[in-house]
Order: sequence, then structure tokens, then C-alpha cells
Amino acid sequence: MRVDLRLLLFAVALAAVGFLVLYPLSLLFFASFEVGPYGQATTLGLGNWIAAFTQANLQSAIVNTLTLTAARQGIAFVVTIVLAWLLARTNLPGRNWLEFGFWISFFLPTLPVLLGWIFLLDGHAGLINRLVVELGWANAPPFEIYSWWGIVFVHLMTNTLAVQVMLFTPAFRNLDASLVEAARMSGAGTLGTLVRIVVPVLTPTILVVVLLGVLRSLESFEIELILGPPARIDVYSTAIYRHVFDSPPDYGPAFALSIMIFVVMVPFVWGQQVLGRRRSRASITSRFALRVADLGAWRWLAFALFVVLLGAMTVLPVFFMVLGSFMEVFGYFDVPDGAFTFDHWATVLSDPLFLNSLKDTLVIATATAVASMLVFPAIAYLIVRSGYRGRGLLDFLTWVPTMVPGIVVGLAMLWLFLQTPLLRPFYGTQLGLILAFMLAGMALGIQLIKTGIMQISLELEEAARAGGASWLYTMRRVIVPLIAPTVVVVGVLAFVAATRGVSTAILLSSHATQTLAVFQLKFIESGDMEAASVIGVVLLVLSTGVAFVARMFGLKIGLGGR
Amino acid sequence: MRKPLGVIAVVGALLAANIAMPACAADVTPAQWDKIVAAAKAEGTVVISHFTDSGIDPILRLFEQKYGIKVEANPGRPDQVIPKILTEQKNGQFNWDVLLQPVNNVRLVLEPAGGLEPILPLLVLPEVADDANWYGGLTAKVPTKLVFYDGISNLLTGIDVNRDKLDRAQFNNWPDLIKPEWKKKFGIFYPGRPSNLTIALACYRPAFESDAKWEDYVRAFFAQEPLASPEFRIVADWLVQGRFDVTVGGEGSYLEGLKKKLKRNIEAPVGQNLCGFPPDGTGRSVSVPRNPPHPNATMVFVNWYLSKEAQEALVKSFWATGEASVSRRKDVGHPDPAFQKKVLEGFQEDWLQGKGMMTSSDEGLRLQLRVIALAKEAGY
Repeated sequence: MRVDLRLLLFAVALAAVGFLVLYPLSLLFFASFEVGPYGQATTLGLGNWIAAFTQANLQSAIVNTLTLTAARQGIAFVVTIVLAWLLARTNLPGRNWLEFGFWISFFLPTLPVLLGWIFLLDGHAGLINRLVVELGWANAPPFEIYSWWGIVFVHLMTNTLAVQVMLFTPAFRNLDASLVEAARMSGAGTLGTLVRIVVPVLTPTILVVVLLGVLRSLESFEIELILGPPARIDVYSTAIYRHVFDSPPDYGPAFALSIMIFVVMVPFVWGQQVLGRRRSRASITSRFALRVADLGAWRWLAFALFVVLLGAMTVLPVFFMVLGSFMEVFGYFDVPDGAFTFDHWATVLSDPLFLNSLKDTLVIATATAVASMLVFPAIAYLIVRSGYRGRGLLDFLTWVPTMVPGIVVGLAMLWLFLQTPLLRPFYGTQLGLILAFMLAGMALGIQLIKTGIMQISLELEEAARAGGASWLYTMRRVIVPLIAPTVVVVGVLAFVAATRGVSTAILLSSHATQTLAVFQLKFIESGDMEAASVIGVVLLVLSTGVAFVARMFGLKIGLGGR
Repeated sequence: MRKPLGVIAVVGALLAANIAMPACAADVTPAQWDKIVAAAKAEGTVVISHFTDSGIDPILRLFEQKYGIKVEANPGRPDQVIPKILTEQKNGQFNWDVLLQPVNNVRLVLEPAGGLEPILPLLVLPEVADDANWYGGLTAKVPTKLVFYDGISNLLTGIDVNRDKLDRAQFNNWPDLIKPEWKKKFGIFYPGRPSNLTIALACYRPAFESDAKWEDYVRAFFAQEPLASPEFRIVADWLVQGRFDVTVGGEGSYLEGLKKKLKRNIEAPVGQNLCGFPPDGTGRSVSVPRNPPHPNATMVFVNWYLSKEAQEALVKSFWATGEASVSRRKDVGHPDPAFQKKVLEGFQEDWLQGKGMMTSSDEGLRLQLRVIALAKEAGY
């Protein structure tokens, strides 16, 4: 009997992904109806749901979440479309290196960078505020980071802009110039070309990036947790956070709130799938042409804008993180016995946990990256090209881990590992963490590669098959080379996510296996941000190093446009 | 009813070492102790979950050097670690030997779920098991047989004042905070969850004749609209950088370090707070989770950790990192004797005389939760 390998692969992928995402989700769902203290006798009821949705301030938290998300994603969308176009389709000087600057920004750990911004923009003692007042440019400090706009600003500077530039730029690069030229020759203006050609062709990517951005906004809490309370700004995710980390923890309402996010997001994910599938978006055809626009003298103005933006997003935070790692107390230059010291480096480097954590991090992050680069393209290909009836379901399932807040996903993973006999041996091991990180990064990785595959015209595959090439040969010689840049982007993202992921790692690590991010947490929790900055620098060097290595191998991680 | 498998394992180890298992703290002879140590060395490892104080690390290394038993230490916050341990236990995984964690989650989550072994039967070294060696005896009047409190922390009023800016006439204590001139003029730790702020306000309750009057004060406190942050470091920075001259609930090792390094005259007023002991939010408690995987190493570690040698080292190490706690052992001094005297006086005169309040007790927790509710009513 002849076995259809593709069908077998599809069935395995559907079963594995289905189990790994639906089982923990069902555990969360049922646990949301268990009323009572965690770990003790509980009763079934709606108490958690009632408590969750009748809590004080929830209405304002929802409004804040929606307005902050709209502002952050709206600004980011407009800005990053322009930035990505400049990087991918113009003769902007040094564009490859400028793009890499956004990567470095993405590698930076959030908390030390946030403290750096507080140091600069605190409404009372912020360095920039003091300078502005001392220079006589204002009578009172003009900026207050503990505010609604402060939250939006820090989000844009820390992650939002960087991620979207990273995701949009390869898509712009894959846009066939002949389509744009044909539109122009047919009399379409710049706006018409943008609306009728560029946007439709990039629709799958735009939908994925916007949806991922919204999901990230709904679940992000680190920045809101610090900048929100002084301004009395509560958001939905901080309400979840408080239930999880209460003493004693109150998981039930947190699960109820999380499931509600999932329910609300289902139509959006479904809509994205429908819109993304509506018609062919292929732009990489046998006639593919990449031509860059000549900006003329304007390119230097654009270059200057990039330098300023990257200075704020990358150079400044890196400078403060490195400086902070050498300061006796971060942000204090008036320490009588000397403001600078090597002590924090000595403390971290001499800690026996450091080397172990470094080794574990390297192994776990590298394995996560490699496994993601092998597994995600296969699943993405099956979703886009297989034609099987369940591919829509498989596509939807890949979104599920992103549709539930990360704080709660960590707990669900813990239950998944402890309650599944097949997975239990991997609890607390490197393999367990690798699997957990892959699940957490699955939506971003698969969707990104999926949009890459959708941009490749089917005619290329058909030509190869017509020439006698086998399916495997066609994959190796046609599809893989074309999606390689995107796959490497996914690999680097997976590596970085594995080095930085805390909420999952803290619950699934053990005394024998833990990552640098978990080790860093020890210092963050005890307020030792200087030592945490040391580890931040180490993590930054690691991530940047990986990105450079990828580039050395010629795998265009956004550095070497086609 | 749960089976006390951990105790059975310890008993088994003791029987193997030819030692009778005590019902409560009891002495072993040097020869018996040597056999326990030999059995512990054969186990080779003790797995410890501890709070994120950096002061604990040197102590763990000291234990490794002394006994040649590897310490696998996992630092972590109790609100993350304790539910994880309980989840493991519920699924038949027993991975931990010793907890050196703040008491809130240990007592409120692990203890009622049956996740702890009785601690007193494990205390077998004569110098540890001797009731007379401890201020307040072995139990220190704490209503639990599962957690041992080895330290008394510096929980003062919870208020910190920049005395370079304000003298006592300008600001002295709690009543000043609700005066009109202090509206929006002080910073607090975020009151959304149990913390130093909620503890401090709960501990102020005995100063009032009724709950209602205390609640009036708490309402007036939040009506002052103090600025709140959930980061101790930020609250401390506000005080030191001059954004506010008074903060509440922001104390901790970071502020202590700032005071020392920057030589700032920051004072925590004492006198109207009856919550001297036992403090929550510090790592000064020892407990043993159910079914420790290395029962002999657990016993050796717990006894050594509560010995004079370890407690002296611990106090010094904590002091060096800004954590100002005092050992309950009578034979252990302190780098700052005046501070030790003050803390011990409060402990003996308040707590041991029944005047103090345990913030992890039902009463303490009730008051803290009330503070949180009142804060929410005020829009926090």
C-alpha cells in the first residue's frame, strides 16, 4: 500500500498541534469553573466568572486597553509601513545596517530599558526634564512618563516599532516591482498604486502583523504595571496579573478573563484567515523584479530621521544598559564613595548559576531556533499548499497560544507537562523548555513563513514539477531558497524569545535547568537592576552574535535585501 | 487524609541510621548526627527554593564547603514558586527539600493544602533543638508547626522620611499623612496586593479602638491620593531623588542600600506600630515541603541553617546586602547592636506579650485584604 507522505505529515501535525494547544486550553476552561482556594477542595460554579467581571475598575481597564492598543498599533502601523518601504524599496544609505538596528532594539530586555526611560523622562527628576528646565526652554518639566502617552511612547520605543519593521520589511522586499510599474503605466498615482496594488498584495502580511500586534497589546503588562499605577491607569492584562500573583493566588478569575480574550479574538483570527485566503497574493513569480526607488537628495533627510529614531530606540538604551551595569546605583552619579564599579559584573560572573544558566540558554535557544526553522516551514507549507480539508483548522490552532495571555499560558503549560504521561519525563528538562518555547512562538513563526509562501507563485512549483522534479526536489531547490530569509528571521526570533522568555521558563525550569532570563529575574525581583543589566548585556551580545552568524552564512536576515 | 510520606522517609532514614524519630524537637548524639551526615552525603544533594535575596548565596556556599553536599538552589518569588510546588505535588512530583521563602504564600497556599512536613521533628542538633536558645522558644508563639521563623525583620512603621528635608515638627508619623497639606505629597507602594504597605496599614489597626475608626483612617489615607508604584525601587527612588519627602511601603534592601551608599538621612519613624513580628516579605523562615527527595540532606541542612555558625553568617550577609534582620537565636549578635536591641525589645514586649499581630494570620490577612478593598474603592 502506498503511503501519502504529505497526508501523513499533515495528520501528525494536526494531531500534535491540536493536542498541545487544545488540552491546556480545556484545562484553563474547566479550572475557571472551580471555585475555591488553589490546591484545596473546590466546588463547581460561576463564582470566578462573576468575580472577574464584576471587579471594580474593569470597565476603565477595558477602555484603557482598547485606547492604548489603538494608539500604539495605529501609530506603529503608519510609521512602520513608511520605514519598511524606505528600507526595502529605496536607495536609503546604509539601509541594511539601519534595518539591523531595529533587530538590536528588539533584542533589548524590556525592564532595564524601561528604567532607562524613567531615568530620562520621570516627571520630577528625569534627566531630559531637568535639562529642559535648566536650559530655560520650559518653566516646568514638560514630560511625564507615568502617563497614558508615556505608556504608548515606551511601547513604541521598546518593541512595537522594531517588531513591525522586522515583519514588514521582508514582505516589501518580496513585492514584485513590475506590479507597481504596471499600475503606474496604467495611469495610477502613488496613492492609487498603494491602495490598489501594494495593500492588496501585502494583505496577508498586514493582517498577520496587525493581529499579532493587537494580541500582544492585549496581553502586555510589564510596562503598564510600572507606568500605569501612578497615573491610575489600569489595563485588562494587569487585572489578570494581579489575580495570578495575589497572595494567595486567585487563578479562577484570571482564567475567566483570559478565556474572554480568546473568545473575543476568535472572529478576528477567523476573519484574518478568510481575508488572507480570498485571492492569490503571489508576487514572486518567474518575472519577479526588484527595483528600488531613487529618493534623490531626500534620502539624506530620511537617513537622518532613521539615525534619530534608532538613536532613541537602540543606541540610548544600549548605552544606559551598559552604563548601568557599571554603576554603583543605576542613575545616581553622586555616590560619595564612587559612582562606578565592576562589582556587579563580578557578582554575576562569579555566581555558579551564571555559567550553568548560560550553557542552558545556549542549548535551549539554539535548539528552539533550529527546531522552529525545521518544523514551522513544514506546517506553514501544509497550511498554504496542501489543499487538505483540515488545513484551516490547523492554521487556526497555531494561533491559539497567542490568543491567551502569556502569564496564564505558562500555568497551562505547567499543567500540560505534569498531567500528560508522555510529556511528564520532560518536565524541568531542556527538551521541555524547548517544546514550550516553540509552542509560545508558533503563531508568529508559522504565520510569518505562511505569508512568505503565499507570496511565491504556484507557477514556480508547477514548472519544476513539469520539468520532472520530485516534490522533495522542488521543495529543496525552489521553495526553501525563496523562503530562506523569512525562515532565518523566524529562527532568530525563536532564539531571542527563548533567551528572554520568563513567564513560561519560570514555571517549567528546574534547579537543574534554567535560562539566563530566569537567573536575571532573581536580580530584578530584589531590585538589583545593575546586576540585571549585566545579564541584559550578556543576552544582547548573545542575540546580536547569533544574528551576525546568520548573516555570515549569507542567510539574509534582513541585512541583505534581494 | 494525606499520608505523611516525607516524614516516613525521614523516619526510614533515621531508622537506617539507627536513630529513633522524635515526635518534636529532640537531641541526637554526635555519633547519631555523624550517621545522618553520612547518609546525607550519600544522597549528595539538597534542593532549595529561596527568596531572591542575594544575601543567601554565601550561606549556601558555606554549607557546601562544610558538608560536601551540593546545594541546588533555585531563587524565585514566592508567588511564582509556591503555586508551582503545589501543582507539582498535586501531580505526584516531589522535587524540593527546603524552602527559605517569605511566609505569606507558604502559609496561605502550601500549608492549608497539606504541602508541608512538620518542621520541629527535624530539629535534632542539641544547639538547635534547645528551646532556651531562642527568643520566644522554638515556636515563638507562632500558630504553626510547619514553618520555623528564624529571624525577626526590621518592620517599622512602613513610613520613610527624608530628614534632610523634613524635621520631626514638620512630619512625624501616621496621623500627619492625612493632614490637608500632605494631599498628593507622598508616594506609596501599589496597594493592589499584600505588600509592605498593606502590612504597615494593617499593623496600625491596634492603635484604634475599633475596625470602623481604623477604616476611617485608611479611607482618609487613600483620599490623600498618594502616587503609587508596584516597584519598590521606584518608590525608593522617589524618596531619594526628592520627588517626595515621605513614602510608605517602599522599604527594602534597595532603599537600605541607597541610604548607606548615598549617605542620606532617611528615617523610618518608630513607635505607633505593633507589628514587630513575624514579618512577611522577608526570607527569614524555614519550611520543608512534603516528601523531600533528599530527607537526610534536608535534615542536615535545616539543622545547620539554624545553628549559631550559620545564623551569624546569615545576619552578616543580609546586613551587607541591606536586609536588616535579626536572628532569633540568643547567641547570635548583630553588626548594629542598637538596631538589634530595638528589634528584640519590640519582639519581646509586643509579640511575646500578645500585643503584636501576625500579618499572615487570619486577622492580619483580613486587615490587609480590607486595605486592598479600601484602596480599590479609592480608585487604586
